[in-house]
Amino acid sequence: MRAACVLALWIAFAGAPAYAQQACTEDDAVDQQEVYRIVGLESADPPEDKALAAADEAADSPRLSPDATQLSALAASGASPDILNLADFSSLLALAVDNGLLSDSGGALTLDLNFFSAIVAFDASVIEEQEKYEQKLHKELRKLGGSISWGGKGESFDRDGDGEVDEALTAESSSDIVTWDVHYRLVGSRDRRDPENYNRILDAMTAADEGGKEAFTKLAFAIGNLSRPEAGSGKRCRAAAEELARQPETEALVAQIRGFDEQAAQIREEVVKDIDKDLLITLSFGGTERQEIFGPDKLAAGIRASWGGADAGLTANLDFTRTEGLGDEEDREAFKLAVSYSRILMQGGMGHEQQGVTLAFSLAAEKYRNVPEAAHDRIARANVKLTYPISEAVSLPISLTWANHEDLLQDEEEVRGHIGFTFDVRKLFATSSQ
Amino acid sequence: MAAKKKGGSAPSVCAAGGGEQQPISIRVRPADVIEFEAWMCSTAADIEAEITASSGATQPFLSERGASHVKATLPSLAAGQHALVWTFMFVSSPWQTRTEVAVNGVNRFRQRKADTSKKAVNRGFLIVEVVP
Repeated sequence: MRAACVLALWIAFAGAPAYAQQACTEDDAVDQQEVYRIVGLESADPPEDKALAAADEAADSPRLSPDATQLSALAASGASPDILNLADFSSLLALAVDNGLLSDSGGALTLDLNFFSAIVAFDASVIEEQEKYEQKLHKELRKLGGSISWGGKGESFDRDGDGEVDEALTAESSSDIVTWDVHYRLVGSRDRRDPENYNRILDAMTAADEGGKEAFTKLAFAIGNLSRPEAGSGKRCRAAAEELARQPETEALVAQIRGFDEQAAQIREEVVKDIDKDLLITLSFGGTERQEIFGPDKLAAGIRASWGGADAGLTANLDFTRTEGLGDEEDREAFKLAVSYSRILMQGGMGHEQQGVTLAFSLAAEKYRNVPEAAHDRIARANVKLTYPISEAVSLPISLTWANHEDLLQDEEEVRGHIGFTFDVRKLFATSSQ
Repeated sequence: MAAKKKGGSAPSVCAAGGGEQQPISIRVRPADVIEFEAWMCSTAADIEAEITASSGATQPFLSERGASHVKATLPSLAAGQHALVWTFMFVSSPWQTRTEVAVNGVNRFRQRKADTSKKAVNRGFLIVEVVP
């Protein structure tokens, strides 16, 4: 079938139309680069929107560090349990910040433990050549990240036991405060250049391109059949190429080829979106070691999982923190588990611009030991929240929360026993008054 | 086009190799050895190449995935006109390529392409005229 099509077109073009016989000199002849532009396969101009091109590049560039989307606010943060964290890296650094493990004040020397970036700095071929990029060692190193900081500022606490909180001190020596954190992506990859992902992308793209090759071959023959400046020249006459470009058959072929190329780009985007919904599980560890005058030593460990995208997704966090007791105090410990599942329902039929409504289920459990600030040693909460979008910026949430202690529901509008109900119409009024 | 390696002054393998030569066709003898060679930089790609005779008969001679460098010898060609066509598909941007065709070890075609936008496919061709 394909051979027949090529033959038919070859015959059509090989009939030596008038434009294919126009004579020219070598100076009036064009090479491939020029002929691509003449027939409309390539633009002579650079991309118009350089900012957009740069953004695309940033989005698609192979990452030097493990994938990141967001991840902060641990289950223990006391916020609504539906505000959970995703399992990626840039935000995992925020884990350390959230726990006071990383100080954002000045004066600290921080070493980035991104080993893959370090290798790339010495040998750029690791990122340029795919075989090196996907070597097991490099793939493993891309899963690993972290940092070590020396110095910085301690934390505010009652240093002298007089019952008043003293100001945080700044380290004078780099060994006064050492803060570290390590992250490892245990499951999943969203890197387009990892074999499991590029095979998915390329399988889909190649399956849809059979017609693209055929059309391109037809065009190649048509160009090859143009008149040339002299026998044996590799170039073709410009006038003949321009005449060819004006032929309806050529315009149709070029449109067909461009259509296949655009379709390939679209297919790639769709598969990439699916890849970005794959399960991701990340382990994180962090700690702070310091002289007692700068605050207690801390240790934190966590596991984060995320799956799905904006339309339906699951997020789960499990965190443990231990803070060394100062003086005679015992160590403080906290375990926090949180799970959330959200899904958009009735998309295309409800809400602002038919966005649908978001239904989210969340569970959170916390266990504390020797933590005076915690309201209870054991805390459990469950929440169902329906969010109705009223405008691009405002949504109306309806929330039902259960907690194992009534005082944990004080933010709810209505409380019956251990169940709280909130219908936040303030946002609705805010919308009306705009 | 002249991409430089990060952290060093050596040019990218896709930028190396000398100036571009982009004829629309080359003329060869039936006994000549024609080699197709391509480099993919900074991305994972699907690389396919085939040669189609003017009769419409197509012979795929190269199909690789995830390689940064491929080299293949074209099958024997009968006298007449043939279209050597290649298709590169990329999983990410930016990408760079260098494509070369050599006849009996002498380079006759060298083309470089680069893209920083969302272009996912690069196609190329070279008409091979086999004269007895």
